[in-house]
Amino acid sequence: METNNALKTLRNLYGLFMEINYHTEPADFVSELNDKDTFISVHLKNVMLHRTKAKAMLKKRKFEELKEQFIALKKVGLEKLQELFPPAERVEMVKLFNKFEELTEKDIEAINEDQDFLTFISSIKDKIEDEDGIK
Amino acid sequence: MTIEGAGTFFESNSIKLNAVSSVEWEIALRKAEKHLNYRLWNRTSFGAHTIENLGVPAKEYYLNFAYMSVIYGNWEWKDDFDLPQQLIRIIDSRISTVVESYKKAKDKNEGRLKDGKYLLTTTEVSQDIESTFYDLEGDEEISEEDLLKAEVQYEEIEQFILESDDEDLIMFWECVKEGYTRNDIAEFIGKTPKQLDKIKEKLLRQIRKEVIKDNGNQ
Repeated sequence: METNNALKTLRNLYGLFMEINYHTEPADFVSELNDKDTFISVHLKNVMLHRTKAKAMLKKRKFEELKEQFIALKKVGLEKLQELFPPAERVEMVKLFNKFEELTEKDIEAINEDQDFLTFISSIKDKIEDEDGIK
Repeated sequence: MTIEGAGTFFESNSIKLNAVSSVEWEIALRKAEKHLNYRLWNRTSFGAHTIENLGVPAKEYYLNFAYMSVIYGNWEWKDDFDLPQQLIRIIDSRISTVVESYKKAKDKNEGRLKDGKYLLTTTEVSQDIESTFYDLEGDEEISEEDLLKAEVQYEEIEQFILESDDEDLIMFWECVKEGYTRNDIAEFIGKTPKQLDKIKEKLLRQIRKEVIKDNGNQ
């Protein structure tokens, strides 16, 4: 019976510690950062390693998506794509349309970092979706 | 956890994680580690959370599971929670899943699941996670040795409180015996939850060595 009471009380205590810890603001942990904790150091390194891997995975995935979109748009054809935009907008986009026309599948890697061009591709895609069913 | 591919929330979690610095990660890991020290107290030498069942020490297993699930998007990092809280929620859910799997395996007289491998399930923890902190009774078996350890630790704290003339600490311990929650205790002894945290720190200093001794290598 004594043991059961002891166990029950300690479980209450650890439950309370969990609740307090859960509500502790991250800022309140800053003072602890100077205390060396090997367990944490090992896991922090692992986190950073996997974040790098995850970023690379995400970049690759985005690239694959872009490639897919690009190939689909190429199939639609430049003329049809231009018709999706009003003449005034079309004039503003001449440079981008020219770039699109000149690009091949092999060049896609180069445009993966070109934000203007990515936005342009995305706007064409939106227009196609608005037109309902060209895609 | 192996990386066999990204989960449903890979992209949305990645966007959020781009804003998380290494210092914020370290704080999240430290907070999750503390949670595990408390959660796994008296639970790693017997049953579901042993190395024999999990393949690796329990603390290692659950912490790794939590951050890998966020990084590779197997779990959604919800807007309602900061990173440390999200890790804690994943940990608690995983613990429930492991205990459940262990019990089922035991019921089927399989002894334990092979190599500590479990399916990547996403059992939801109820929104009111605080209530689960106190719901520890009867969820797992406990060895005679751990029972004895608990009794010794309890006696040590009792002795410490008896010799103390700190009224706050005495009241705090009485409330713990009654199973009061953080807000209940703060209200009962007329302190803010922040002030209560200081009292807890005092008590924790007394028992920290025991906690580390019990779970430090798990």
